[in-house]
Amino acid sequence: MKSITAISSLKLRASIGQTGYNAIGDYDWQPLISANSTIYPFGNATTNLGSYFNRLGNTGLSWEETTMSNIGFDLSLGRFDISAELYKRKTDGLLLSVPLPESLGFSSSPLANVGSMQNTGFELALGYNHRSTDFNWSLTGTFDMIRNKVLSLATPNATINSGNNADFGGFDITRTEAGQPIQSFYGWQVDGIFQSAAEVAAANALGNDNAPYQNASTAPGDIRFKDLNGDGKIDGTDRTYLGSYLPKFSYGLNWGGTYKNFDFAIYFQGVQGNKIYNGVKVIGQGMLRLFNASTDVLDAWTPQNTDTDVPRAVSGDPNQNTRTSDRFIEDGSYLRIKNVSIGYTFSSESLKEITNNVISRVRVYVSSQNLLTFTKYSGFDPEVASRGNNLLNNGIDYGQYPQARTVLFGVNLGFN
Amino acid sequence: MKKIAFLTSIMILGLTLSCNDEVLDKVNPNGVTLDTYFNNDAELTAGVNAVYALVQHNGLVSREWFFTHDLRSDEVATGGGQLETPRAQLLNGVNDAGNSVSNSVFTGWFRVVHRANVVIEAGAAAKPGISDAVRTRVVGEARFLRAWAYYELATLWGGVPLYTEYAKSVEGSKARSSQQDVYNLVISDLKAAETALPATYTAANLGRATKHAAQMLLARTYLQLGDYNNAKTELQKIVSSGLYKLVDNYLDLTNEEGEFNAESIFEVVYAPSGGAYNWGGDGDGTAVQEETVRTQEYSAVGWRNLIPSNKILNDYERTSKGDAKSDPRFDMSYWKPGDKFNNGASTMTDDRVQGNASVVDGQTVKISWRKYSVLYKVDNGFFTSGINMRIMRYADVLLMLAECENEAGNSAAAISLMNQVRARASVQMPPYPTANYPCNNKDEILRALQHERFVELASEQVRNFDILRWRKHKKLKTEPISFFVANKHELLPLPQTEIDNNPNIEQKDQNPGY
Repeated sequence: MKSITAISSLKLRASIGQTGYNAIGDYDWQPLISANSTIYPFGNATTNLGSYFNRLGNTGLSWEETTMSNIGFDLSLGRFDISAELYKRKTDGLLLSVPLPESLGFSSSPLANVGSMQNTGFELALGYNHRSTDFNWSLTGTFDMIRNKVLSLATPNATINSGNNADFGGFDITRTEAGQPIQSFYGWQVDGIFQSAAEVAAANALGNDNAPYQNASTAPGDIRFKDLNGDGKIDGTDRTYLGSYLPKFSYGLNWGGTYKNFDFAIYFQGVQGNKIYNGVKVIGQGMLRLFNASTDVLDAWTPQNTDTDVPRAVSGDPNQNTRTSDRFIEDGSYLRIKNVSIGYTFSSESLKEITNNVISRVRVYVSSQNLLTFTKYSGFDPEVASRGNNLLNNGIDYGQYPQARTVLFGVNLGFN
Repeated sequence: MKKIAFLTSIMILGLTLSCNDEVLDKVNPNGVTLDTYFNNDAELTAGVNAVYALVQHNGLVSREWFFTHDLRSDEVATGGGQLETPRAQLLNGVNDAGNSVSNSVFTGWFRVVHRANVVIEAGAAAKPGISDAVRTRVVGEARFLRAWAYYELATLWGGVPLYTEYAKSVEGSKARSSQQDVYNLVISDLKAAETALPATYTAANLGRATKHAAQMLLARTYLQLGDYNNAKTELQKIVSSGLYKLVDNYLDLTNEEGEFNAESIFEVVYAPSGGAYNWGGDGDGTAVQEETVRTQEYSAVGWRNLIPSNKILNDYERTSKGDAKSDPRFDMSYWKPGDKFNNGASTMTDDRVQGNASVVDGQTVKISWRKYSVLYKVDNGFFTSGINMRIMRYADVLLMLAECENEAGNSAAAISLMNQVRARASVQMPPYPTANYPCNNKDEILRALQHERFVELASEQVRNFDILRWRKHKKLKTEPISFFVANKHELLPLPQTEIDNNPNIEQKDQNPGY
């Protein structure tokens, strides 16, 4: 390589390996009796205890195995660094709770090795270092993309639904199924708002029986959902995949350095192309309760205000306008200035003189976290985590407490 | 050479002693597994106690069960905007497969079925540690509770999956059975329970199902099926037992002091727990929180989510309507402005009562449910109580029997049974026939009977099932439910989660109209 002077270093790398993941609770395979764990007050005495068995065991439980292979290179070209990697991770024996029908009567679902899943991805990092007498800085950019696909799922119904919450529409919000990314959003599609009684009547006339299109109380101002299977009736079979919480790509840019006595750092971070299920909007716009409505409801449909996407205000949501649908799916892309700081350091010689050799160093600075966020997401914060760390509820914003924007003014003093 | 021989023998030893899988299947030393439990009387009894505990929990009798029944009846109206959406949807007949209230009742009853099945299987064979007397009784209780669960499920949802043993694997779910098959299981369970269960219990065991509770549930099942003859047989067994009578004070039927009185056949037990209410999924845990939230949900001071409908309020006999006497049960069933509560220390005023008003006898007035309301003795903020829910009482037996006699053409017997209920010491309504309720023929007697059941059993979770069976057997002159659509509202929708997760149930198996 010595002969190619432009390249100061080049490393090619490739690896393949297998890891196990055993996030299995202790003795999870056993069907345990909850002995003397509930009370029933026969004769009004609260000392009568009861024992129950409410969760199946699974003697076939084993590790989740992930086979990873990757290929990449690290290249330095003088002031430039480039690092790139392609990888594939295939997980077999995926550990998930098997969803059970209510009628089986178990209170919780057993963990099982239900399927396999594949992640393929690409990572790229570019760096540049600038050196001069007064101005030194470095710039690092990163770019990640990942594609997820469930390859197989061996639950009784070959699907796992998740995210059901009575305060957020009452239906599940995600579905995991072979051929789709894990926990994709799953629900109905909005087909506009019924503008007149004639439109409702025309919809009700569809289909081959006298059943209404949605239900008997559908009225002008209610949402019309899409009849995907064309049977003239909206039911569970008209649900479809509505997008994924996984971004198309994510990126970051870190720029930091010094100019004379100034120092600075700024870190941009962003994701692109992911979807968020905006549960805050279900609460704020759904008019399900007498409280917590957002100002969106001022734009609710009325015979005079027809050019809106907010349905009519009606007690009890008879048309189930708040059911899981793309009405609440939003683009979760954002670009955020995660960190920014700027500081100035006073020269030490003059300080020592002024302070009689007590203080050797003074740095004043301003820094901020989450200073600016560029996003179309209408909820509090586009960085949505999974509530209760549920593996299948990522990207559902159940009203997560938003991250704070901080601005910090500070002084660093160094004493002799 | 010695070294090699030594290493070789170690390796051979290693091969022969290589671990077998069973060594790795460590059993939790702190837990009790299913196959090592249910070995003695106490453990089997604890098993059935847990079935009662589930019946009692928030998803069933302490909350969602009475809501589901009442919201589908014509007894209630919305208390106001505070009524949550899934409840309002049931009240207006626009509930769907995502309705959290009816879904929790569906889920709750199936968890009862599961827990009962565990006990029935554990007690199926004789075991050295378990006495035959306990085994017989406990299995009888479990079969009674399974029957109750399936009676409710079949009547509310129609033909549901039928499990006579608990699922041993995740693949165990079943397709829908026919409604008749579910009722058949109910009947065979209740016949077995009737034989197995004692007629009475000691004070410490009050609340366990008795022989007569099984007979009454069997009678109710026969009435759903329109089988008046068999219903009559069961009801007569209860009457001829001589164990029950009407109590004098109508208030004792829904207050705390009157629990387990001579009129009571089966109660779901709640006990004072210092105001603690168990909101948890299955009502489990060993913290003492055995109260019910009924007062807070319905009563005058509290959330007041549901109030009595104008229809029921105006159904009571009144001198202003030309009746000989105003029915005293009206005052004993509802809170009205000016009523004294909190042992007489507080007075009901409109500013204490949130939400909608009713129109009674032409007057607009704020009226609220009083049955099961603990306000009569407290006024303390959040109202939970230890008042038992009276699931079955003797007045209902007499009225059902009156209905059977009327169907059999025995008018005199029917009228006399109804008049027994009206003659209660604190009620003393003039006997039928009256001016407004003549009893000259079968239809007129049925009309009087339907009125009598409406007012006597108001807000005791019998009206919904009465309407369902009367409608089915063409005993209604007018449809009582304003939103009723035939071939839809007879049944509730199966939960969408059941359709999504049960490989043997598809969308096309959903109940009609949903």
